[in-house]
Amino acid sequence: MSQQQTRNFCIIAHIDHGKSTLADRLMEYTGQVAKRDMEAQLLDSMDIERERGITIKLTPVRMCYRKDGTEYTLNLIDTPGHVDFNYEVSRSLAACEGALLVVDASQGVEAQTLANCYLALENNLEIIPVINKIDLPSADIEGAKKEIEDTIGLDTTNAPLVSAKEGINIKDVLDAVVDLVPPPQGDETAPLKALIFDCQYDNYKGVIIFTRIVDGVVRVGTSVKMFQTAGKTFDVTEVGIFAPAMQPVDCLKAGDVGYICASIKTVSDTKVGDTVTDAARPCAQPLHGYKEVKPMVFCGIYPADGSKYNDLKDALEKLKLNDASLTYEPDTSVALGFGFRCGFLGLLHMEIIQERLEREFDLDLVTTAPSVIYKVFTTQGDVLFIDNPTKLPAPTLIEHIEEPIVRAEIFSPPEYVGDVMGLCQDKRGTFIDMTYLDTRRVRLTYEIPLNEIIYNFFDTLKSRTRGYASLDYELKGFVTGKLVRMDMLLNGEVCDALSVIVNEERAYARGRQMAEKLKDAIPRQMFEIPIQAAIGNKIIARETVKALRKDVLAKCYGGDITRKKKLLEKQKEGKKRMRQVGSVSVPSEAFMSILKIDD
Amino acid sequence: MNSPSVYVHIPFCKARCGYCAFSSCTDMSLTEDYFAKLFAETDYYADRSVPVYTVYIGGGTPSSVPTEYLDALFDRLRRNFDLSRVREITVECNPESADDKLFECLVRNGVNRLSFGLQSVNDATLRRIGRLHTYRRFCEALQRARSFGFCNVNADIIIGLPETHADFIRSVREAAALPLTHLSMYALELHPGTPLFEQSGGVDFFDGDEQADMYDEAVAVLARQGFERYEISNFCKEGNECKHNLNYWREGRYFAFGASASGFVGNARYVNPRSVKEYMTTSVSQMHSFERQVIDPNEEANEFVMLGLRLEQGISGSEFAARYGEDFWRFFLTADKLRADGFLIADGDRIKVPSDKFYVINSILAELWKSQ
Repeated sequence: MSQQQTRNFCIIAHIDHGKSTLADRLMEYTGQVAKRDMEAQLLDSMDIERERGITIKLTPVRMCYRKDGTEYTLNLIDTPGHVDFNYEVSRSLAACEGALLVVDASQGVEAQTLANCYLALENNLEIIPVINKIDLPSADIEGAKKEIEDTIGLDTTNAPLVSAKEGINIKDVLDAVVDLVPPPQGDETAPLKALIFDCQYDNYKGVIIFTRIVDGVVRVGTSVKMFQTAGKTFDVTEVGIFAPAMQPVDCLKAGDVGYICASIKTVSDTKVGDTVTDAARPCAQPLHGYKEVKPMVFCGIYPADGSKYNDLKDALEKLKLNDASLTYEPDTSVALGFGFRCGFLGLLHMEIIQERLEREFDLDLVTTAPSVIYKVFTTQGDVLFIDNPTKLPAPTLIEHIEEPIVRAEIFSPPEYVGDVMGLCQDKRGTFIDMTYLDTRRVRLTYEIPLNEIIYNFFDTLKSRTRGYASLDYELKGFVTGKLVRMDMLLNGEVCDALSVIVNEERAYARGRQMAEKLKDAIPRQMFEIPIQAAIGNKIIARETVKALRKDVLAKCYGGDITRKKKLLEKQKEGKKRMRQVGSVSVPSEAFMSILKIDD
Repeated sequence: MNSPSVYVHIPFCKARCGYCAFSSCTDMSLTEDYFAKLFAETDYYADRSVPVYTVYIGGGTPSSVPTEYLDALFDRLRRNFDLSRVREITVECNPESADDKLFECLVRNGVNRLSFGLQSVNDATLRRIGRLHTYRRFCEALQRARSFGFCNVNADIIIGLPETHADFIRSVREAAALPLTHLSMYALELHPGTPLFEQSGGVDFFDGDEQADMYDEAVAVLARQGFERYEISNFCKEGNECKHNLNYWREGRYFAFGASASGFVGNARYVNPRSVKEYMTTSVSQMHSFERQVIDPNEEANEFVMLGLRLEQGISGSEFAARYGEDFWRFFLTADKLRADGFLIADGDRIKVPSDKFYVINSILAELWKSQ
């Protein structure tokens, strides 16, 4: 099939606007999946994606569609909608010529949609607006169209009006893709030039490269190399397409979207964004690739069982392979032993990675409180970037500290505006703007320190607005803050894994909350355990775990020593599983307990 | 080998108590067959090579079976073991089944110690936990026992029953004033499947702190009445320690017969089949290998400490070294730290747990064993 009959496109939509459902319908309509095999949200292959109803990873799929007697190949590359996964979006955009902009007829254009849409425009993609959820009683089709025209400047005259849920007008969408998305313009005879837009690791096949062929052809036996690891060449063992399961084909040509296997065993040999070319006949220039993303949120991740360090290391390596935005480096903690300091794009990203590590790699983890990255200006005139509280220099060596500030847009029904404003004030927010978008929606704009956002902001926002408010934020810059390191002391000893950097004024409340949480999470032991929050030498909060007064007094009934011994062995094993902070045994749950504090 | 003890389990009870999770049996029709099996077992494992130190007939309710069986049992024990130098023979009794006929039987068989299940002096509590006796009935039984010459008598009291803190203290106070030489005071354990477990939903009637308070108060009351604590849960008037139990706590050896009985012979511990039914169907030659565990010296050292530290006087450092070939403080790497933190005391040759730390002995032992 020639490039003239190929269309590569993606879908841009805000969370909940029905992107995954529409993708499912398109596949169903083109017969890609038999109806009986349909599982809701087919492209969201990870359990976490289905459970949370969100897309995290981009997923490609190939569909065949006949229009006016011609057979077309449509490659859909699904994209995530959440702000944390912007990076993934930019990756799929680079592999496409067109994008469907799905807008919920009852909600209109959301901030995140807008951001992704601009990304698509920058990439010269043809954008086709699609109005979804027209079946809802609250649908306002004309309003949604007008908003698209006003805010993005797209003509909506011929925009397909659909209900992905009810399967209404799906054909219109496919026709629009064929008619409006330009076919790829690659040169099949030119040297191979292919973009790596994602990777996966398979125990048998090694690294599987998800690719968009820009120029040339790749087939089994082709010897390929990557630009960033130019020294190594790999012989292609399999090429194929996503149907949506991987299906081998003879070759992939310019304009195609598919996968390449080449017995690549070392994960670090492939980098997302890199260009694959023919080793014997390389192309002159690599593709642009992606710009490096900077992680915004950091936390320590440790195996609950210290002997699983290498398993954790392998798992992170494999996740990194198809999530280039994840960063990690080895770290050690006195309390938690060997682990990693990991960087994430945002809080959701962090949660997802933690969940994937636990589920896909069967690891038990202990994570430390998330931190942002601080700019520390030392009295020596140096500027340090600190993402780990334990690395913060002594106060006497610090001239001042700057913290990241985000511009947060919160959409809320008008009745909760007071609550939302109260929350933003509590979180050291600076009011910027309030706009009534219509009678049902208000947009509040605040500048808020990121370290307040990552500390329970989202959960509190949801609970104060009964789940109605939504939040988008983008990094605005760094501003000077009164920041200090707060340590937690257990029985007089600092537990490094519990240290946090906080705004000085908030430290008292935070210290008290953390001490209370720890008090509940640390079991009573043979001696009294003071739990203290301290800034430097100054104690700002204290709780006490009272000494255990009585444990089981198992009777040696009729001399049954064995039973008693078993009880004690169990107790001993339980003790071994706990972390030792000085003389105090701390269960893993205690480290996690401070992450969830209700305001 | 030092003189071993002998334990015999009589699982029969007229009724099952609300908290009981032991091997017990209310089907008295099985008595004949059970004793036949028990005799066969003692015949099979007969050992007259060493004199027996103590004998303990426990249950269940040994006093609930017709005295002929008890007579026959003692005959059997005398035939199969050397009881010529036995120091103590205890039989557990319940007040409602302790009559003159029983006492006569026990006297003629040389029994010199009785142990009564009193549990509480509060009749409402006794009814609630399914006991068949009243406090008054207990006092009468005790008096009759004394008239037969039994002056070494124990009563069991349970801490943490569904009664008030004050009810419990009253039990302790009243019991301490009775002509008893020994009191055992164990905390109630709620076992799944027992009526009290169902009633309470498995949640202790008193939490650990309250139980510790109750213990402390009881210890003080008993001390004023001349009862000294010699083991975490056991109190006696001077010189009336239970020799049989002391043998357990000193890592001594003992034969055990009957359903669910646990023995320690040579280098192995064994537990007989727990249920009466299973016991009856297991051949006597298999009985002591049914659930058997060889205790290596290292493990024995752990046990020695686990049991010995329950005693007020603790363990003897020189005995530990003689038995296990190593100094206690070197054997347990965490021992020094525990001593420094006040959880262990070295008092001459004795190594002990301070009495105010008795209630957390499990934590102390777990800490000791951890270093193994």
